Amino acid sequence: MLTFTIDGQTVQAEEGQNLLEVALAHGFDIPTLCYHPSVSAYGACRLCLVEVTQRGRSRITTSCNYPALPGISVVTRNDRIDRLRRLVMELILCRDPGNPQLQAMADRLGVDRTRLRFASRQDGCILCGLCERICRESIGADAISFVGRGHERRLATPFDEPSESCVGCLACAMVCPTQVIEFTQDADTRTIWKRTFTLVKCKECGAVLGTPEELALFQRKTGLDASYFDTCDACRKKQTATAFAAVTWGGQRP
Amino acid sequence: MELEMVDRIVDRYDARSSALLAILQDIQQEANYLPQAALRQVARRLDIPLTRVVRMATFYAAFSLKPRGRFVCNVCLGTACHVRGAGRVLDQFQRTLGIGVGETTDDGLFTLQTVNCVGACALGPVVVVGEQYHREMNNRKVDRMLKSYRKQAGE
Amino acid sequence: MAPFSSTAELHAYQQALVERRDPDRTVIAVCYGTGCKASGATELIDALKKAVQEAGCSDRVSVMPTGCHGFCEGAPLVVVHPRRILYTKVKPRHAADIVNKTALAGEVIEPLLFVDPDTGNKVVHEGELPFYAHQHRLLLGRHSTTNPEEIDDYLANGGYGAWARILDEQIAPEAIIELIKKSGLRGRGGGGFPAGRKWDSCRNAPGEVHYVICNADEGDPGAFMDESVLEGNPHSVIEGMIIGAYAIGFPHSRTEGYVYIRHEYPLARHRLAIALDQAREKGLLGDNILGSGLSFDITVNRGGGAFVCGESTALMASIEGFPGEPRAKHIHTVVSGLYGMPTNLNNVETWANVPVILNMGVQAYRAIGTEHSKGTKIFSLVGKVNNTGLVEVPMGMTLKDIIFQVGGGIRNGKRFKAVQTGGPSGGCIPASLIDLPVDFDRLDEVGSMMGSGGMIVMDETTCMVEVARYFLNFLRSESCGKCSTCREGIARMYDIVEGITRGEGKPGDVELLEELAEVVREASLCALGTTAPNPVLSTIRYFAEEYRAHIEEKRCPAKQCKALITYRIIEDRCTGCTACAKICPTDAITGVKDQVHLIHQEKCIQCGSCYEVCPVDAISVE
Repeated sequence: MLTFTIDGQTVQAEEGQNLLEVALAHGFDIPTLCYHPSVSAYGACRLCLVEVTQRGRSRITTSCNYPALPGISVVTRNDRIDRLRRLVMELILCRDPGNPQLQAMADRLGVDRTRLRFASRQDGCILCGLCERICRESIGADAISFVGRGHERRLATPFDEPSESCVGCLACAMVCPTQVIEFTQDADTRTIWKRTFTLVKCKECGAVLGTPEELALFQRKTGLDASYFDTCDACRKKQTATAFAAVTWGGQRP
Repeated sequence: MELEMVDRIVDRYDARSSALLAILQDIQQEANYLPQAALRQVARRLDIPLTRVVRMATFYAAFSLKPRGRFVCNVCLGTACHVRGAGRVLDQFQRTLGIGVGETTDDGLFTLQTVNCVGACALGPVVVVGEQYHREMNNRKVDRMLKSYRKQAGE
Repeated sequence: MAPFSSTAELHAYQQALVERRDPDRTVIAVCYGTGCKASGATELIDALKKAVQEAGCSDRVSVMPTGCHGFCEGAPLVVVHPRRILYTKVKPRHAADIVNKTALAGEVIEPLLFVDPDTGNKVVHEGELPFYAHQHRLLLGRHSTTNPEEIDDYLANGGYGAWARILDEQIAPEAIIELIKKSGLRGRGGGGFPAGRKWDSCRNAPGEVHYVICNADEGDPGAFMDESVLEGNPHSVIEGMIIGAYAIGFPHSRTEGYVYIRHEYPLARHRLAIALDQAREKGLLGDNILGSGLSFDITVNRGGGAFVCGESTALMASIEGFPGEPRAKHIHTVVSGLYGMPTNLNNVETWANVPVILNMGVQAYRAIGTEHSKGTKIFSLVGKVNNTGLVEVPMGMTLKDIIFQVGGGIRNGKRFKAVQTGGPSGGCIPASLIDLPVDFDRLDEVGSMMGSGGMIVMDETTCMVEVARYFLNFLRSESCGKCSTCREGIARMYDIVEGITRGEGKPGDVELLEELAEVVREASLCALGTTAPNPVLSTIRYFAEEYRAHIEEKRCPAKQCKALITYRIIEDRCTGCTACAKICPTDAITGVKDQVHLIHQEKCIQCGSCYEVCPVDAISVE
């Protein structure tokens, strides 16, 4: 355990934690668009700026990839931080001024519009990389990545073709802070990143369980029996309860 | 595209994934660009995700994912060349060849590329075609140079 | 020959080399750096070799390709030793004369001599060239007498002597670090961090292996110092790295070396590979070097055309086989760098300084330079200057002396306007600061930086707004694209500046640029982003009037911004030669032969071709 201060309040953290997660856990309000607790911090959006003072020297830094260190003092808001965050927001807003999620963040930071020319590609993607990280780190599919660099960087499947390693799990679409990863789903199929998957349904109730690729991946990762993935959670619970009742009360409810 | 060529190159580096950049460079050296099939084979052989290979191939400017022409014209846009008029030289290439940067003429002869300094700053504006350096270029020299390469190709 | 297993064997070999060599032997040294090679040195060397053969004098005369001598303006260069007779702009057809007249008969060939434009005097000997006379060539001095592809040349000149002396005198690694600290050597790659302190931190960081890296990813456009050092004297860099490995990792750790070299430098790569092979053959790299107990070898990694890989963490990611994306350096690379191990990275010029310092002694080295910047610095002096080339001068020499004494002033009698230093991270220094002594700190003070040593001279025909646009364009594609501030910030600054050069500037643009500059500088992760606004800020600071003319009057004072200029034919001067009409790519020029021509403005695309070809200067730019 190590101790430092955030806005004058003493806080404790584990070694290896970053400032943002410690601050959020203690209820401090720091804006961010590229951070998610289930994946590694990346530092792309630059909104989570704070001022860190260590051994008498202060600097502005992103909090998501700054380690919690003993004895430092962190300031989460002052005029300079607020002004810089508003400028960062103006820059991010250029990528899609009409995106509702971005506008909500802009409102929160007191930015009503961007004074800058809009980016040439306005697809709402702010290149935060959350989709790429969740796909790689949490799912293990590695279906998408950044391609290109500089102002031409974008996110795509290899060669912009349907990805062979995509399992159609939708984690990328769910984690996207601007909600712009498109997918469609009807009764039998799901389409994402240009690839269409058939859907597996619960043998009992017919509810959608996921794609066969997704279930196979989870089976591999968890080592559970294949039959575990035949039914949905609700039906599995029901089955378990029935079996439990049979053993305990001989099938007769008391 | 011969996948044996890819295998040979990968083996040269003992299939180490840390050698990915060098492997891609060697493949481009032989194939003149990075064919998709080669990138897929590299991913398989190094046992790394295809996304990592594609990301490398698109991050580094030295790589082309499209076939390139017989003569790859690299217009140096280093600062020294720039202040001596490299921009006008590049314009002249685009006009004369009718292609943009990164494109190849329909006859497959010329590919136009730019490069950020080839270290021959005293001779600017410089254009490098293959291993040949052309110094103190201007609009007239561009036309003359392209003509001579066309002639060379016709022979 | 077996590899040397002790310093005694090395000394004996060097002794034999020196005894065998005839200092009065006639050697025709041909500069064979990238610049001279691009100017036809290959054909020249072949012609000279053939001429030697034909004259039947190969027992007395040899032809030696060397690294860059520096005076690129005179490319290709030939120096005939031992008298050091200098010939410039030599063609293959001169080969027979050089062999028969100069090499064999000692005669000087007048038409091949360089004529000093100031005095009209012909320069006979290399040392008398004003370009060299004002330099202090600690690192480059040997280039015209050394064949970089022959380790014996380096050894015969006392090469690897600094390393051997460390072993002979049993100087402890810590003592080497102290010497480097005392010498005041600062990293020549850009930031100017004290090398000794870096070595010290790295040595003290725990790890089973300590990596020693040479950064040869010289990405600043308009800079080729490191290229030339590797092409001209690769062993000096290798010797520096061996000493570094000893000082940093011996005996408590394993050491491994890397050179990360630009993809655009094929010749430097080639020479380095040869030098490494020869050093291995001689036992100067490998296991238990010279019986010292130090085992060290160097691997060469080629870059892929990414400026950002000059940043240390990006460079290390690239060596590991990943895109060159910098990471936060809250834990320094000297503690956790390549593969998470302690890593010491210095650039080519820094490593090449190490044996020089140990050979000449710390006191003598400290005597060169200014209070906080010791030694010499190599600059690539290029752009609108008369003597373009590579110069090595003591730290603290003024811009004026570098540009006018060494560089011979501005081309074509134009007026000096500014000099750009520090590449895309640096700034433009105006003519009013011409007396500025050049060292790390003074350049910082005026809003530029040393960088790796590019010095691009600009004259009255260089538009400073356009220069800012140029660097922003460079940076927006060279940014790795990770940080929103760097990626979007530079792209949006580019939009604004590009608009200004097209005459679409608005009041308030400059202020908006300054706001964006602050957020890009403060909120980006790596040095590429945090220094990216410098070219814009320095031009706003010193050339505000030029921004104002573009924005308010839609006028480009340097007459460079295409959208703001008009080409016209000066009727009094036009002779009707038709040259302009023939070259015009859009058929915008019409006229009958021998009569005054006319430019049709609606068709003109301001390409400047007519201006370039007109033999009588009858085209005006307004």
